[in-house]
Amino acid sequence: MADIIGVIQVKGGVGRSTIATNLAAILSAAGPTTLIDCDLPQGTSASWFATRDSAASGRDLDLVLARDHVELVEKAGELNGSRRYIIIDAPPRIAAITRATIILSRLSLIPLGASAAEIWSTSDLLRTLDDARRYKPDVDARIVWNRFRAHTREARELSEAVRRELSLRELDARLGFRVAYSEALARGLSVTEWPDDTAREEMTALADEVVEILGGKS
Amino acid sequence: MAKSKTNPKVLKPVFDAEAALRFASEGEPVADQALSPPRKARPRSPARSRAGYTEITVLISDELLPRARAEAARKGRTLDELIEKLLSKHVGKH
Repeated sequence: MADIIGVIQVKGGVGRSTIATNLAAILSAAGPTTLIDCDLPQGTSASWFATRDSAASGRDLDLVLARDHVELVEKAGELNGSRRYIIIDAPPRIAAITRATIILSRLSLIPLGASAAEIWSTSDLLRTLDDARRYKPDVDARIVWNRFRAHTREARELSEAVRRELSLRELDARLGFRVAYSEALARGLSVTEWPDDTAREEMTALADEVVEILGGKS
Repeated sequence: MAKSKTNPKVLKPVFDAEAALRFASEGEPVADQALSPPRKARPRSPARSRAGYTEITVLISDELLPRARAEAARKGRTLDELIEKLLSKHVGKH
């Protein structure tokens, strides 16, 4: 049975596809992995994969598109027996497909930047997560800090406020504000395949932590 | 029949397609609010008590039923209405 990881967030531009594509690339080294892009027609993950397909062919990674929640559940069900990991890049809204992603996923990651707009959006998502627990009591959703500027007071204060006021766990691994993420994405690569040691270490730490969390659930 | 020595399964399966479809369908009005005016709830089909209708029991696979329910919810119909419409398409109304 595959480990299904959903990357969800109500607001756009918070780094969902960056995290989904990088996780897919890194985790595919451990076994067959499918990246499901549900954010259509934007399709950032699909564009990344199309670019990657020619640059890094032969990897144990493929891409599937899902246009609605019925298609997502069907395709995830078909892949579940043959894949090690399934990564779902959900759309930036609380749609039926996002709700299905939450239920299907063993772990949902919520990218969040230290900005008020992104944190307010996450407050809306909290209600949906609470609703989801009526169907699946062990829903596990955790914040991933993205574009985090640890040296700024604003980032420290907002992250402390989130910890205090939102009842969401967060990953220890944090992604900083680095151009390497967009540079690698534009070339169909993960940052582990891009010459930026700090970004590589951040994303590797994120993937390791995800694997550790999933391992602890088995 | 010999009793199984394996422990009973008490954990829910990780891949719960039916729950995913049910929860997703339940949430559709939330998504609609952001994109378009909310749809008016359709009155429940009076078929069970309407003259000229007969209640029947049909076996539907566990795999198909949640998908049918989700599709009915997506179209704002009851399951009865959806099945009758599909059936009438195949066999004709008269």
